[in-house]
Amino acid sequence: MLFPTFTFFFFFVIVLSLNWALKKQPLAWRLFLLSASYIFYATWDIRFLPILAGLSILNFTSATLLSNMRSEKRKKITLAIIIILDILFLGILKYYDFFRVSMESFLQSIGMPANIPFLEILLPIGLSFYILRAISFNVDIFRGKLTLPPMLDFAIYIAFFPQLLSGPIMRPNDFLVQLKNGGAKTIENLHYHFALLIGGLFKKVVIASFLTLHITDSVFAVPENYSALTLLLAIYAFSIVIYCDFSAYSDMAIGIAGLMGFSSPVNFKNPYAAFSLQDFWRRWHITFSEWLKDYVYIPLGGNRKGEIRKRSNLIITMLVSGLWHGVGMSYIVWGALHGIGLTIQNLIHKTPGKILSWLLTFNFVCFTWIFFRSENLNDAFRIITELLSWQKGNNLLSCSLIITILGFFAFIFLEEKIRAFYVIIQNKLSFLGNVLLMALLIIEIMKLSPDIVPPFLYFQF
Amino acid sequence: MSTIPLHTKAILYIIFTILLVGFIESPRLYTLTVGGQDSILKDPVLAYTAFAANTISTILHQQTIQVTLSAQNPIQKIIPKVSYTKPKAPYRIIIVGDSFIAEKFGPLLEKELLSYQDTQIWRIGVYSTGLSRPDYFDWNEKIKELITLYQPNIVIAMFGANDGQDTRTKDGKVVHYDAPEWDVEYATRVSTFLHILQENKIFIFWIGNPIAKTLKYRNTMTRLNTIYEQVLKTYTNTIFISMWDTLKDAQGEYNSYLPDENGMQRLARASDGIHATPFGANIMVQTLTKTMKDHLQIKPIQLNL
Repeated sequence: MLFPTFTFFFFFVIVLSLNWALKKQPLAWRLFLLSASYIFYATWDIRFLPILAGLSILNFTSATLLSNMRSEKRKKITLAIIIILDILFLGILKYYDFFRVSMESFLQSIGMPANIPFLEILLPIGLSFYILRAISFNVDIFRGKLTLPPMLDFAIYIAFFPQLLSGPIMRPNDFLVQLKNGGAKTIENLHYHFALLIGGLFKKVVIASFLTLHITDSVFAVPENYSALTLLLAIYAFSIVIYCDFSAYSDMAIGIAGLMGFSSPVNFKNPYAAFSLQDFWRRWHITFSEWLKDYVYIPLGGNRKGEIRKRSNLIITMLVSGLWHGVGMSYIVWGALHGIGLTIQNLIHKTPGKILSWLLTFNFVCFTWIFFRSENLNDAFRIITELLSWQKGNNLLSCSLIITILGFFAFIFLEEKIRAFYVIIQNKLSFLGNVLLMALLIIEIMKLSPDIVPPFLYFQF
Repeated sequence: MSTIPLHTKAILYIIFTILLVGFIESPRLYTLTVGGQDSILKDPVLAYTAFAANTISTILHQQTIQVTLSAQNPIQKIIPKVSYTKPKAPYRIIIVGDSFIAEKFGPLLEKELLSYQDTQIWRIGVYSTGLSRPDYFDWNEKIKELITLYQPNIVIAMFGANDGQDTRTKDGKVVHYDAPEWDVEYATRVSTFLHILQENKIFIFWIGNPIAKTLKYRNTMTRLNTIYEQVLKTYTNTIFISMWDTLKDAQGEYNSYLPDENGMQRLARASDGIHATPFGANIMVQTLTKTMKDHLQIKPIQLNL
């Protein structure tokens, strides 16, 4: 069930109604939240449910053990075991086939027998996200930042449907405290949440889908068929696509959770306005980069073990980020480039002027998206080679397309202001006025949307 | 309204907004689910009415699916055969079809054909489309546009993955998928498409659908492939390339994994049991280009180092 579909709207109306109706009965409300989340997940594939449930039970069991243990040594061993199990589980489901093929190729190349069994593995959607939540839960229990909640609460934290598939990656305590308090007693900033839903719909269904179907899919699929200018256009177009696609889902997730009385952390803050890579990572997929900082970078030593360790920790953290995003060398290269970029920036003490800083940061980020989006490393290097050699080929460039892309960029940069303005208008309108306004906006979005809307990009992670 | 709790207001907002959208848009839009995929906010009232009607009629009209094309293709009586010589280089090739052409197989095929001399390629793959639902996406109209735009001398076409569903005739009559007359109606669509290409002296490579995982899809693909083969036989400028055996395992069954040239088992099919992975798509590309080389003078581009 995708968010911007009629099936989901019907599901959500029922869930929203029952959510508020049952709030005064804590146990019934919690059971309902868990059931709704599991039903949502089951609509994707019922086979995902045992995996979600099994992982929840496993992680809660380890958290229980951690809570009750006195020996620090035993606690560390238990934590290490559960983290290894979680990563192994993710690794097998997500990376096994890549590992098998790579290992078999390597063994064959050195003349050794290669008979690693192949397994037809089901990869549950959202796994990469809820594994991170599970790991942070156990780590926070270990660090004493969190007291063990009831199992039902933990299960809801892992499975909470607005955030299940693509985040935001909420910290355990932030969510569990809200759950313990029964969620908000009323919806705060009602119109703001509707603004998030409608804005998210526009970004995904109009902007991201248009650019994907008209430019990025064709160009990145067969880059050798297109001119250098078209490749450049596709790269900038993809920077819009990935932002709009991902932030649209986050916005809708935050809006939906907000309407249910749960407040969620902001996940994007105008990332393309960043003046440095550090600034970029404080604005892009914020909950993920915070997670990496607290659960990878800092445990590795952070910046407390000298400059060389700090730089290597940065690169390792970004490599982990690349690896988490996908199977393939191109994701690892993407992560490595960001790691190296962050390291270099740390070394440079004198920063250029604001405009130059912004230009460098923005273009570096767009350049690294080549690796993120290309089908494989060969294609990524091919795009770079063709750009540098200013290759001729099919041309998708047109004035209207360039103006459209510039328009989309303007929307992205002014997004928060547009949303704030929209909320002001909604606050002034009557109930009927708001219904009319939202209906008209939805109709216009439908008219502007292509016939086919590609799936959310981050679902593949 | 100000005395109503905000959560009630939120629920009412959602319900009334969706009702209003449905009310305003339903005269303009048409039915929603195509090929099993959810669409975005299109025609809610008509969609659910059609869905309910379709479900009821499917239950009432349940019967064994049989291909009932007559030995003498009734379409061919109307459209005369035209014969001409096969195209020579330079080859202007359009690749058209559904999601198979939009991703994996289509792009790989495009890349492969670009590596041959004297080829210009345009690829147009549209997800969730086919020949059953011209009300949703009309390939017969689209191909005319593409012919005008690109002046191809070869078309490579692949349809079917989304075509196993009820269709409508030009006068709006619904033809159920499990009705015998469905095959004739569908064959007419295929024939019309081929006739447009034939009129423009375009050589056609028609790609059949590969074996699928579920029995339902396997039956659908068998039925459609049979229709394609039978209709294509009545035209002289067409080649049907079967992908059925291409993606079967050694036992002749569906398998997600197939051996590569070194005997290593590689994932060939996507988790939906229909589409191919890049490895599986490459097998399809090699099958197609082998056949193309038998009929055209295509040669790889020689690199002068």
